[in-house]
Order: sequence, then C-alpha cells, then structure tokens
Amino acid sequence: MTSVPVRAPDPQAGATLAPQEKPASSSPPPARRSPIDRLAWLLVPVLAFYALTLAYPVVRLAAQSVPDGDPLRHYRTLLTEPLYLEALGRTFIYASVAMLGALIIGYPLAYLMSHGPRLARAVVTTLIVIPFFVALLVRTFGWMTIFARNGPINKLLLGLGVVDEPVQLMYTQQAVLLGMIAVLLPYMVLPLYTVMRRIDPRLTQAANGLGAGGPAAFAFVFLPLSIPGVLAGCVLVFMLGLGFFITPDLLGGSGEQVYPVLLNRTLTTAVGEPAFASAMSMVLLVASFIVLLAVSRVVPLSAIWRPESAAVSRRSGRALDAGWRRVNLLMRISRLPSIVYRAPGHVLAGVGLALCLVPMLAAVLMSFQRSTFAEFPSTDLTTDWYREFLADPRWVDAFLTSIRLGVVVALVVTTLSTLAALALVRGTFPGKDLIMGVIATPLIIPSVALAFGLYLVLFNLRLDGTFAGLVIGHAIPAVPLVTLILVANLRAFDYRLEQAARGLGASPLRAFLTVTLPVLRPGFLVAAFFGFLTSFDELVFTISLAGTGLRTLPLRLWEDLHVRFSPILAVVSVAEMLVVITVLGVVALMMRLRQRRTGMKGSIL
Amino acid sequence: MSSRAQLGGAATAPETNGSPAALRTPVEAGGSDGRQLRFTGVTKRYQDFEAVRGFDLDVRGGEFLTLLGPSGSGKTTVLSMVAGFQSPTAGSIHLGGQRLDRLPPERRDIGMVFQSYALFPHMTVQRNVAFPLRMRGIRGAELARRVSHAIDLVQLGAHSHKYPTQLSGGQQQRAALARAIVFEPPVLLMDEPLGALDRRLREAVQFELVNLHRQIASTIIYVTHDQDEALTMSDRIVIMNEGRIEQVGTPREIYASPANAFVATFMGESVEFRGRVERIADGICTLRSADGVHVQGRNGPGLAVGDEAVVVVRPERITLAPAADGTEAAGVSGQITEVLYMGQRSRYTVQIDGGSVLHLIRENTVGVASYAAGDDIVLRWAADEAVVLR
Ligand SMILES: Nc1ncnc2c1ncn2[C@@H]1O[C@H](COP(=O)(O)OP(=O)(O)O)[C@@H](O)[C@H]1O
Ligand SMILES: [Mg+2]
Repeated sequence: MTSVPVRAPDPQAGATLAPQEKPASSSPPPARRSPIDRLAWLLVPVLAFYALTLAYPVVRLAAQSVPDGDPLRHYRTLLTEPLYLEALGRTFIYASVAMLGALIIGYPLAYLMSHGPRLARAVVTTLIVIPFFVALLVRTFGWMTIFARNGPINKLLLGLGVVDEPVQLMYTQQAVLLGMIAVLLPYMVLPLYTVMRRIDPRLTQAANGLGAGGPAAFAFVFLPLSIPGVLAGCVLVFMLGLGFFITPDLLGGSGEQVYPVLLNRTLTTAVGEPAFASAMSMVLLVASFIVLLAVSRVVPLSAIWRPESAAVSRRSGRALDAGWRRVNLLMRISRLPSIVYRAPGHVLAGVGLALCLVPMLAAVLMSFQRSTFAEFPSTDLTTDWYREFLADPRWVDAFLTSIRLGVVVALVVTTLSTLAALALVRGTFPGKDLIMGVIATPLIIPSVALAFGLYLVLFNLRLDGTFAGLVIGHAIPAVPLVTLILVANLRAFDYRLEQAARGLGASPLRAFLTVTLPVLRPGFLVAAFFGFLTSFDELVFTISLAGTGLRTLPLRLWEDLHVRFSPILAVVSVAEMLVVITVLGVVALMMRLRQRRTGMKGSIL
Repeated sequence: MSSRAQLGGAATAPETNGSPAALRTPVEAGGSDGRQLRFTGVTKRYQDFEAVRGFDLDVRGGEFLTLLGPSGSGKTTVLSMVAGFQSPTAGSIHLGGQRLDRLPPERRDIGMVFQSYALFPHMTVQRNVAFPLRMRGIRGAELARRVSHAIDLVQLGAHSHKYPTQLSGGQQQRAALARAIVFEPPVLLMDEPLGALDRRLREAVQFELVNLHRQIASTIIYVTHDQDEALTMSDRIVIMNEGRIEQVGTPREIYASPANAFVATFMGESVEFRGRVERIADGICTLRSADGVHVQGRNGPGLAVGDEAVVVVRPERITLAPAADGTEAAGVSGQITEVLYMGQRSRYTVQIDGGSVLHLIRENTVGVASYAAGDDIVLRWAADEAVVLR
C-alpha cells in the first residue's frame, strides 16, 4: 500500500524554515519546455495497459448488461428482488463492522509498531508484514480449521464443560465477521503505521512537559495527528470489504450471504446469463463509485496512498476546540496508574496479534495431524501429508505454475512500473497527482466485478484460460503496489548524485545507467519481489480467467476447499507461507544491504 | 560586569507594575525561593555509558544560567532530567526545596523550549500557546488574556492564527517560547533554541531573550555549544565536558580565569606557553620553557616548584613591541614571519625564539604600531592577566 521504503523522517524537517507552504503537487514552471517533459511519454505503456484492462472491461460490462428488447430488465431485478437488495445492504454492514473492528484492534497495533519499545516494534512489525503477504485464502483456511466442529474452540468449550456438544461456529455471521476483521486487519495497520511513524515522539513529550498527562497528550496531540492514517485505513478496509468474497464464501456457507459472494457464484455457475452477471457487476462497481465519491467529499482520495497530508490533521486540530471541555476528565484519568489506562490498548494489541498469528499456526499444526477430519489439536502427528503433496502431480504442477507466473508478472510489472515511476517522480507535467490516483484505483475497486469485465475482453481476444491472460490479470493488482514502492524509492534517491555524474560528462541516459540504477538496484529488486508475491497470492482474477486448463496453487486450494476437507490443504497453505516468508527474508536482507551501501534507510514497510 | 548592561544598554531593574509582575512566581513561604533548583550528585547512565556524572549545582532563583559544552557532553540529558523526560540513575533534583525528580513531567510545571521547537503542527500559534493553560483548567476570558499577553511578549501578534509550517524559523522559535512561558513556570529550560537560526537572526533573538528574562521572573537554564552566546547572555556559565562540570562562574570568571586547560581552550582563543615552574612568589608563578624563555602568570591551584605547567593568556591581553625599544621589562622575544591584512584587523604569525609559532590578531587602530614580516618583536603581558595551569 502506502507501505513503501522511504528515507527515515528527518527530525529537523519540522523545524526548517517554511515561510509559505506550497501545495504538494509540484506543477512545472510553465513556458520552459525542458527535455524533462518528454518523460511524460513513459506513462504511455501503463496508461495503455489500464485502458485495456480497466476502462475497456467496464465499458464492455456496461454494454453487455443492457440486453436488447428490455434493456433495464436485469437492473430492475437487482434493485427490486429482496435477495439482492438484502445482500447489498448486508455487504455495507459487514464492510462497516470489519472497518470498525479492524480500526479498534489495528490502532494499538500500529502504535506499538511505530512508538513501542524496540523489541515490541520488531515483533509486531514481523507479525503484521507476514500476514499482509500471505494469501487471504490461506489465512481464511486457518480460520476454517479453528472454527471446525472438531476444532480447538469446541474442544476447549467441551473440555471446560461450558457446552455438552460441539457448537456450530462455521457458517455463522460471527465467523464471517471475525474472519473479515482478521483477514483485513493488515490493510488497516499499514496506513496507520505510515502516518504514526512520522509523528515526532518529542511532540508527545512536549505535551507532557506542558502539563498534559499521558491520556490528555494522546487525545489532544497524538490522536489528531494520526487521523489521516485512520481515514486512509478505514477507506481502504471498507472498500476492500465491499468487494470481498473469499472469506465470507468459505466461512459463511450457503446461508445469508454478501453481494460479492452472490456475484462470484453467478459468474461461476450461470454461464448462460452473462448479461445478468454483467448487470450484477455494474451494480457493485457503481455502488463502490458512489461510496468513493461520498468519501472524497471528506478526505482527499490521495490520502489513501499518501496519508501524511497536512490538511487533514489541521482540520482535526480545529475539531479539538470542542474537546477541551473533556480535559478535566482526562486529567483525572492521567492521575491513575499508567497501567490502568494503558491496559485496553495492550489487550487489543494482543488480540490483534492473535488474530494474525493463530490462523497461520493452525494451518501449520493441521498439516502434521493424522486425522482426515478437521480434528485437532491431537498428538497423533505425521509427515505423510507432505509426502502426499510432493507425490501428487496436480499440486506440484499448480505450485510450479504459480512460481512461473509470479516471475513473469514480476518482470512485466516492474518494467511497466519503472517507466511510470520515472515519469511521476522526474517529470514536470501537470496532473501527476491525478495519474497517481488512476494508477492506484485497482487497490480500492472491487476486483470481482473487474475480473468479469476483463474475462469478457480476454475472451474476445482468445486469451481466456491462457498463461498470457493470467499474466494480464495478475498485473492489475501488482502495478499499483509496485509503482508506489518505486516512486518512494526514486523520491528517496539523492538526485544530486546523478547531476554530479552529468557534470562530470555523462549523458542523461548514461548517468542513469551508471549511477542511479546501481544505487537503486536493491529497491528495484524489492519492488519486483512484491510483484511476484502479489501474483503468487492472486485468486480473484485467477478464478475468472484461468478457464479449465491452468491451475495455480491458490486456485486449486480454493476449488478443493469447496469439495472436501483434507490435511493436504494445510500442507498447501504451509507451502504458500514458506514461499512468502522466504521472499520477505530476502527482501529484508536486501534492505539491509542497501542501507549499508547507500545509507538510504528503509524497511519492508 | 553584567551581561545585561553590555547588551541592552542601561540595565534597568525588573518592572514591578503591570502585567509582567503578574508573570512573576511568588516566593514560597518559608523564605525558600520556589525558583531555586538544586542538583545533588545527579548521574545518568545509559546501559554502560555515563552521560552525566556526579552533577552538583545550585541554580539561584531568577538566574540566567547557561550550560555550555561540546556536543555529547550531557547538556540535553541534564535538561531532560529537569523536565522529567529522563530520570536520574542516582542523585536528586530539588525545586524550591521540593523533590522534583520523582514527579511525572506533567506535574513539574517546568517550561521547555525544544531545539526542534516541537510545536503541535495541527494547532495554530494561538492554540499551541493556549495548550498548557487548558491543561491547567484555565478557560474563557482568563485564557484569552494570558494567551494574547504571551503572544505579545514575543511579538507574534500578527501571526497568531497561522500554523507552525506557515511560520519562519524565527517565528517558530518565538511561538515555542510563548508556549513555554505562558503558564509562568518557575523554571524555563531552553535547549539550543537558536541552533536552527542563521547568524544574524540569532544575534537579534539573543538580545530579545535577555530582555524577556527581565520581564518574566523565571529561572532560565539555557543550553548552547556556542561560547559567544553563553558569554553575552548568561549570569553564570556552567562548562560541561564528558558529563562532568569543569567550571562554574560568571562569564568574566570563566573567560579570564579558566580553571583548567579544557576551559581555557574551549572558551575562545588563547596563547599557551609550556614549561617548568621555577619560582612562585606573591601569587605570581614564573615558568621556564624548554626554549629557555621565562613567562609569568597568576599562580594556579596546587602548583609547586619543579612542576610541569602551562601559562595561558588571551591574545588580546598581549602587547607587541619592537625588540629594540630599550625597555628591560621581561618579555618573550620573537620574529614576525607573516602578516595577513584583514581590513579592520591584521593577523601576525610570530616565531618565538627557540621554535614555537603562535598567531596574534591585532586591531588596526590609530596609534597602534603595525609590523612587517621579518620585524623582531617582544611579547608582553601583565602577569595577573595570564593564568598558570597544570
Ligand atoms: N537515550 C540514550 N541512550 C543512550 N545514549 C544516549 C541517549 N541519549 C543521549 N545519549 C548519549 O549521552 C551523551 C550525552 O548526550 P546529550 O545529553 O544529548 O549531549 P549534548 O546535549 O551535550 O550534546 C551522548 O554521548 C549521547 O550519545
Ligand atoms: Mg543536545
């Protein structure tokens, strides 16, 4: 997301003279036509790609959704049938609950990550970054094993004598909501963290010195300054929640379901009714669009990928005038032992870490259990399932397909994104913020709907069910992430090095190749690895585009989960986690290398 | 000499009527001044590193005291322990007779201006300044009056509705100052508050700070690593080095009578002559250098005949005279080897008979002889203008 390697915030930056604040968008000095303007052409490949894979599919969906004869037939059904209306309403409620739940749990976690004791920072960061990149599907699978009839929760309740027979946990509303909160939590924590990391701890100290005890300093100084992160995290989680179907589908069963689940089931079953499916997709897209429009009246949408904008925290500063009346209450709370007012935060952070960690641990444990039912924990351990996994060509092929796909996607996306990032950082042309916004859109619009539109387009091009088709599909969520990382990298690069090279006689291209590129190489590799991981985890586009032949690891896992339960699925999950953890380990190592070589600070976040 | 008189022209007594009086903290009952700060054996250890060791100091009520020392000498750590952001590993700090170092920062009532200013970026100047008052439950007309008074004191009235990022560095510094004095703290701490300003602005603000100190009653502990700043502003200066106090004294004492070689070299230019003590009489110590030259200075503590020592003398206390001037008065003879003309001044490089080289800067004033390279000269100073140190 916004979690991009950047230079550590300069402690002096806040103190430098800034007599007249300039708006962040640096529009070019007009009249001067420098060769820099030609950099704008580097955006052409990315924009062409977006036209083909975002704009055109939406046009196709719209066209297809209005059949001849009675064009609005499907829309009438969707907007009058209680089934769909209720599902849509439920989607909004679930997305809201997931957003609030993730906020309440994620805020203390992000605080620990940014301002906690050194050890806590390291531990929490690791435990948040790993689930951020482990596939949603794998983490949902973990929850399935936990909620299972013979799973650990029921075992515990029975053992304690709370209940006489196992309670139904799977396929309940509570399971869906808890699962959604847990699975979406990292998307809340990361924007919060990027904002909190920039809050100078000396500000809280200063507030203490001026007479504000811990709670008052938090309420009047830290909290208002973190509001941009809160808004960014909430928008991100809410929008993801609107288009979310993997977790609700698996944990919610066939009962009352959310709209994206219905949409996905329509897509995969009612092949004969593409018009209806198109209309369904359009309804979801339009609903998201309306939400975004409403949100943008409150928050500039650029806050989602650059949540540190000053304007928002200023507004929250003004809002404080109403809050001063509470100051006496806060001062009374400050008099309590700090353990009292810190306790809720610690408890919530503990819950958050458990939500991240437990499902992954459950999958690991499960993979060593002998029983073929989701009966665990038990002490009857075996490695048979690993052997079975390695002996089964279906799994091994799927695994290799995923790796191959990931590598190709990483190469394609890094190329596209490098060009775009160069133009966006070095170019001097108007509308850069807008273009950045366009590039970021796949992060926040429901990909189920988009995936179906893309399927329609690729079908016409005879690319559906092909490797190339999947590369295109996987590139859609990867381009925004990789571009954001590269933009941050290029921004952090000391441009004067390149200027020095030019001054010493190198041509612009040569200076870039001999100075900039070597310094930034670790940054490029990191971006490429994140492109790989995005593809390796991708499921939504894969479901729509894979057709009948190609199988990736997540797709095969998804399909098998709907058929029967087997511990081999836990082995698959472990395999996925191992790849993710290995890649993250390599990335962390390269960050360290870059820091040693160039002094540029940065972390995976 | 009062630094006030030097800076502000006539040193007036603090105003006794009008609003500045309202800013004065009342003297506590029992005769003890609530603005007095006492450090007793304060030590701060980070893991295995002692940043401050055995710090003993009495700060008088209403005094302008400067902590001066090279970077890393523990100045910020001392301030942090007063403000409550760090707690001493050993020792105690008392304010007006009350133990301070066990209170949380928000209960200490100590004003602090951070080097980075630490202004709240989401609040206007006015809200920043109102913050400490709000935390003390003050509101309404009283709040408005005191906020605008503090903002007027630092002459920021025209900018009170701006946000910190809309202010220049100097304005930010004033806003931070207003915020630190608005609640009339008995003690005001400033950690290199002028470090981020350019030289010209720094000098103007130095003057204003001294002026402001006259209007408020707070004791000020000021941290800097700039000798000139310390000399011009302070009532007393504490020289720190490697976590220890090297010397405490008025600017004049520190400059004219450095307690040791560290203070001597740290505080401005000095010319040094090494040698062995040959005679001590009437508080004057005579050294014989390896070159065979005799030099004199005030006797330092604990010196005996035969000791290795060094005579330290400020260059502006040395007079230059032609070698053949006929006077028999003792002096160090040498030869000018180089003259660098710098307009108002000239810089002479002098080779002392016997080898060592030193530099002297002379004003090119009417009535002062000038010399050329190759001239033989004699250096002289009054024995009590120089100090002899180990
Ligand atoms: N939190 C800390 N942990 C470890 N060492 C510290 C810490 N704060 C300061 N120090 C060390 O203590 C010494 C004194 O620091 P400081 O008080 O900031 O010096 P000054 O302000 O005089 O430059 C320095 O060597 C510094 O590295
Ligand atoms: Mg310091």
